[in-house]
Amino acid sequence: MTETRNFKVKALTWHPYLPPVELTDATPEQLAAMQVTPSSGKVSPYVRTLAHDPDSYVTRTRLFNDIMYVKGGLDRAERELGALIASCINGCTYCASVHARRYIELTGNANTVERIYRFGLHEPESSRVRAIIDFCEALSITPPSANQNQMAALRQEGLSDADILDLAHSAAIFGWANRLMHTLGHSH
Amino acid sequence: MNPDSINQLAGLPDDSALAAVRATRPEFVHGAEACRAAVLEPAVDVGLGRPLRAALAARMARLNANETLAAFYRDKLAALGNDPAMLRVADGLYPDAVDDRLRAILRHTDFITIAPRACTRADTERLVAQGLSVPEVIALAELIGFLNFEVRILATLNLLKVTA
Repeated sequence: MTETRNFKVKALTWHPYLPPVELTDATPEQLAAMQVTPSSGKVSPYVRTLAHDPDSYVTRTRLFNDIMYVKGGLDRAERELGALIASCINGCTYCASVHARRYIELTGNANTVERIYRFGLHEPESSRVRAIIDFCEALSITPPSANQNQMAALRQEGLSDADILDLAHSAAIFGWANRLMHTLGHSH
Repeated sequence: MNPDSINQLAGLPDDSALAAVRATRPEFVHGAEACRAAVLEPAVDVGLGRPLRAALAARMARLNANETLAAFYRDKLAALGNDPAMLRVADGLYPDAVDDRLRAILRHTDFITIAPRACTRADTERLVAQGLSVPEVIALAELIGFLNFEVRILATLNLLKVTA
């Protein structure tokens, strides 16, 4: 646990399975959703793929940003951990790599991420990290199966109801994002 | 402004401590309602149609063992006319004389709800081969995603309620 090897999670590139919206063919709603302006450079394949359904793209992106970045409440790093655990359960290697790297940036704790990548979700951790992993893992399977013991463990670690709801939102929004990124494309 | 359907579905009285906690995150409350509207009743429907969206929502709620949520979406389906084929979809069944397109939609909805990690390129490409447009594939993924988000917020609220 005290080794300090330089574990790094590789940045991945996401590639869609289906043709994304081409800017030259985009409807006014799609252009507005992508926030394309005459000065825009390239729009990512990810944004152009989801812009096929502009309403849900706009509303989900706003909710996603609020859940991950809203001020106050649960620490941002712990929201990133919730995102990472959901992505592990749902098998979304792209989302996992993005949020594993953010978690390491915010905490400096590469050891937890290395254990998750090498050995899975059930290695020894601090009691707070353990409580967060266990809850998010159980919440992410179908049907969601988090239980009272996991809730008690989070409360034992000092998480308030508001903190627990913040955590649940981070895992749950990845229950959504993973079902987009992992089903609509692949990454390497 | 939309009412907070999630509080209603979780059975949280307006004056409860948990409703007060939810009210401290208006971005989450209103954001979830806006997303529900976008996947169930989009301003620009790329093709799935509202009855099928409501029926699939009820079907996924059942797959997630949330009968309260399933009933909520069956009420939306009833308001849209309760087409017998869509009622079978909502109940987790396959309509009689189901066509290839609808069969592919139902298979994919169940599959991605239960086991998203097993999805491969072939699963997604099959949808197009069975007659869905690319925008419909994206809209279906967003609908599946929203339901799977919503059931996890409700599951957490139900746990917080009983362990307060």
